[in-house]
Amino acid sequence: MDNIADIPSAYPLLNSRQDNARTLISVLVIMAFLASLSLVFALSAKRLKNNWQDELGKSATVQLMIDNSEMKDLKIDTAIALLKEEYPKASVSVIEDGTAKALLKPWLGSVDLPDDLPIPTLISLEFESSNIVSLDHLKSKLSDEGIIAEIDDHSRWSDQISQTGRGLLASALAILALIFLACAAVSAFATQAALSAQRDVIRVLVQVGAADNFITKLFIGQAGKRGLISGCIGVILGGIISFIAHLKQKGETALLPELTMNWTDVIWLILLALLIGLICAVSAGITASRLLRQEHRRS
Amino acid sequence: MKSSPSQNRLAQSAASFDVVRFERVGVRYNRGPEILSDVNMRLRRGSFTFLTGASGAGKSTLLKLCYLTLKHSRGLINLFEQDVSVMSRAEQQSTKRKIGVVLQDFHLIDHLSVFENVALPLRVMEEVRSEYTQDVVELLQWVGLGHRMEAMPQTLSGGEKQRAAIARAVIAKPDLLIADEPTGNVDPVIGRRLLRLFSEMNRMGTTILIATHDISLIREIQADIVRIENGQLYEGLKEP
Repeated sequence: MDNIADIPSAYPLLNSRQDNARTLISVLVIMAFLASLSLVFALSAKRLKNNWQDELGKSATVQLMIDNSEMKDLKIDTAIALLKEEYPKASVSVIEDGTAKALLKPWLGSVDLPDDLPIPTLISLEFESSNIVSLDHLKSKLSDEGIIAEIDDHSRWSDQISQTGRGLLASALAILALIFLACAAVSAFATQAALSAQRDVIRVLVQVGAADNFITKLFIGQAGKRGLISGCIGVILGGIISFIAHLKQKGETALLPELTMNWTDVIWLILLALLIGLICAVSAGITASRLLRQEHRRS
Repeated sequence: MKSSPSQNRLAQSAASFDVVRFERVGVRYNRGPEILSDVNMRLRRGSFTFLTGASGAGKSTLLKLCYLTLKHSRGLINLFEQDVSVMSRAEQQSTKRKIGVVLQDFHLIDHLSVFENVALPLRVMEEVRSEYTQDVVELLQWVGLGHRMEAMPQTLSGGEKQRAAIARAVIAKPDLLIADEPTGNVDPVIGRRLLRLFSEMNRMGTTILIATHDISLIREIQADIVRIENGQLYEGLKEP
């Protein structure tokens, strides 16, 4: 080699073949994959909670208790007129008897209901946006017109859904946190093993005057690189699976959270891969620094 | 060791500065007998010293004390006028960067090429690669490894490994060079060339301490000579 330009760029000082790099990367890829699924689930749960609340907040149901069937149409017209006057921008419509009976099916089963079964008349109110109106006064106004009514603004459902959504979100985030902890533990264990496997290299580095910080930086770089590579692979796999699930589930489920994706999720997934790399690097740095200090105390 | 006149002019001009100073140093492993006992030694800046003695006499142990791989059991060791027993970890690492070491078993890193092994002290000092590449290439050519720069250590002969280890020890222009049998595995021509390298470094101000059995090597240049016998240090070669 006569030309200096032929000198190859610097080799890594730590020998990646001496420790079980492939096994470590495989484990980290699996963790990154699981973390990406948890993250997408958490984001979906958050979106679903917001969507549910938004949908519920945009609608209300008015139940009219009408004893006298002869007065039924009049009272319905009166109620509709009052509701339209109160909420001119809202869509007001009477729910057909057949539809109202269908709402009872979850409780009464699919048997044919008798025609004389007293079913309250339901009026649906649909607003343009959620939670912008208070319906508290409506009952008394209808009462003033001689109409006995119950107003369901779905707030009790909204609270339950909010709680359920928060629970789902918290569960997904807790799983994510556990995966991060596991990543840190795996990286720490791998660093410990690498320090042992590369004792000869470290001895030479120490002999030529390498400071602990220098050696620690080598392990930080190695672990960070492995974490980032594994994070990227795992996140790409998780992203693909989530996207397939998104395509398959879209619009199919009503009550359970869908594994839906949004373009902003891609940003979160990229951040997740970076975070896994960072966690591995920090964990390796702390472990290497601690073990080098211990070694110094022993020698 | 009582001070003896060094032929080196730098040693004379800086006679007041001791690079290495041992006072009544003793070394024992665990609870065994003392390997070295009441050793007194001074290596002045710019001196060139040969350390001789039979195998197992304690030459390597004494060298280990000098390059901070072994702790003494008693006495005082000063390196660069600093007491090693109170040196912090950072001070020890900084001191090690001033010392070039050539060991009998070379301690080359197997997964690094000859070039990378030799450049290692400069990388550890975080010097810029483009600035030291030329120096490393020239030094490797000088020690006869110009054609083996990309070779891996396991493909080198014993002599080539030794030359690579020497090149690594001197590349950072250390203030103190410690070598354990540096010419043991090389042919006489290369041996003389390496000795010239050491002499040249000494002329430039590096303090040299070489442990060797090779009397012919000792006779090549005029230098201080000390020998270890029964764990004690004496001046000069043993009388026949």
